[in-house]
Amino acid sequence: MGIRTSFDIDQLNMLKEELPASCEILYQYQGIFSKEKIKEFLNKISENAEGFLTAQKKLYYVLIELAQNVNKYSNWRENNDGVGSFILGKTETNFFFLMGNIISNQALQVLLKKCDIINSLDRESLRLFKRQQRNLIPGTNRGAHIGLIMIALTTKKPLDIRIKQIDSDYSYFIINVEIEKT
Amino acid sequence: MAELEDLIIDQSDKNFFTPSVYFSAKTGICELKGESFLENTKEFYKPIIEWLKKYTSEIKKPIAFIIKLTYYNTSTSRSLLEMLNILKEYEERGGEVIVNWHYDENDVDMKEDIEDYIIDTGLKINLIPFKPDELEE
Repeated sequence: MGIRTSFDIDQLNMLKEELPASCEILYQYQGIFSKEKIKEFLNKISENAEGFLTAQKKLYYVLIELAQNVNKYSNWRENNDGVGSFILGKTETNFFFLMGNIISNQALQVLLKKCDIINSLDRESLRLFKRQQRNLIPGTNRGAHIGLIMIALTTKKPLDIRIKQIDSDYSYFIINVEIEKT
Repeated sequence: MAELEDLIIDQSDKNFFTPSVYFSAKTGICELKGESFLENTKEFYKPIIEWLKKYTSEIKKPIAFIIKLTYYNTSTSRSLLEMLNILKEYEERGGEVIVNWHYDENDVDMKEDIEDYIIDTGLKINLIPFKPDELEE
């Protein structure tokens, strides 16, 4: 199970099935997560969360970690860039974004276990876990997912993961991030 | 012994966002400023870490380490830890070290993260809040 350059699925439609009730979509995209495109996502956050300084910071942190992960690890790739999908939106109380990418079912199981561990920890334990992971000698902890720990800390919520199985080899991995408008 | 030259790297957005680096061998003032979201974080920080190792083992003068990063990603956070650990070791060998970490007053997450660095390194880190736009030049 390796890299593929196309899948017969509409990622954005699958993301839209996961939208919160009564929301407004501010931006949507499906395609390669190039550096330029990730910068565009960040600009969309700056424009749409203007005036909400804390929320803007948090969205920025979380987006860049996740988008760089899609770019690096998505199993759907074009040239060197991972293909994924992204919807930025808002509800009355929150900003949110949904981000999705194709992942092999094998890698998914490993990732879900890590998410379970992160979601089982309270804030103080999460901070300790982050420090432990950061203190490991670089290169010895491939896939420790310090980024996911940071996301749980930044959003102050458990990681909200949605999975849609595509076939016996691949799934569509979605993460939903909600940040209060502050 | 070869003289240690100043290390100067301009801020750039070519590789996502790399910070500006101004490390002066003459004054011991070392400043990291801007945003640090990179693809090859280790590659970017390697010469910076090497410079710090040289300064603390060869120059051995006081050092003021000033961080003015408005954002950094988790891979950058490992390199920051490596640099702070070098400074802590230098301090334990008798070196004079000041660390001033400026952070956006709205950025509660960065403040918490700096507090975690204080626990991890045992360094005295001065937390200095700034208002948005204060770092703009």
